Amino acid sequence: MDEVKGVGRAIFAATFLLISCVLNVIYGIGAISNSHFFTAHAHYVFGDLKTWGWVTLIIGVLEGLAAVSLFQGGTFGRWFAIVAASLAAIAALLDLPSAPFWSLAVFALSLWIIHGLVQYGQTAPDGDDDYPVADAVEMERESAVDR
Amino acid sequence: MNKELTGPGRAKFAGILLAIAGVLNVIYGIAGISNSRVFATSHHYFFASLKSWGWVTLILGVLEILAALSLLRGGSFGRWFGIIVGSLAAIEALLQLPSYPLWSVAIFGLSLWIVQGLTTAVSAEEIWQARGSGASVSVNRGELRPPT
Repeated sequence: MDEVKGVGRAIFAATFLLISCVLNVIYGIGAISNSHFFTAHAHYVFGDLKTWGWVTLIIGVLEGLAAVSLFQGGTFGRWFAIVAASLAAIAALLDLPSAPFWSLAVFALSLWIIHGLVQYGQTAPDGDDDYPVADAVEMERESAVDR
Repeated sequence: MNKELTGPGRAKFAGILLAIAGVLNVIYGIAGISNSRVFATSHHYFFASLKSWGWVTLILGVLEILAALSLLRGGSFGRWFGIIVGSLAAIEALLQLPSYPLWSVAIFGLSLWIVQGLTTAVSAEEIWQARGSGASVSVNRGELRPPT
């Protein structure tokens, strides 16, 4: 289960992680500097806007690191990214009062990343068009047996 | 050699989605530049104003339509171009969210769908090479390797 299958799988997750990274870093910086973008006097479960800004900024940076690792094809990036994206999903809902729509969008994005990374470690079903590279690997193995 | 993307109608699917996103962004961009009343007044952005976001949206929309045309013609150029433009459109949608939250979230989702389709597609050429040349496919690194 420590493999990311196929060319597209890792690139997909890495691209999404980069998008999430950029959004979280911008949100974090904005929140730390008390941007007018955010709802004033919002009540959080705990912490304040500045705290959540720092948390989001750090998570964004972690996601950037995970994306770089995935682009290089490292398996380290997979687990790291699953942890980072999970934290991002939780943080997105906890700082929801500051910008509800934004938080929902980032929440969904984070879940999509986790789904991608967990799913792509699994073996591809036979003949599934969604897994073209894995199919090619399978055919290559079969032809090797024939020889 | 067939350079079209595989999967269930991948290239055409992503191309059509890109065209839709492009048209929406162009309309939204023009409306933003001319300060249309569709948008919420007195909105605060992270940076810049409605007018500048309108221009950014318009340019991204035009680029998306170009990427869509390339993809529908089966070009591999459109794939990478589409991934980059789609990613930028997703980020941009959330940055100008205050002007029209629901619209922004919808465009955000549409852009992500495009990027997902384009990044997970694999060109038929890549598979053809893996099958035909005795190349091994490194599952671990997610790469196609030349024969050793």
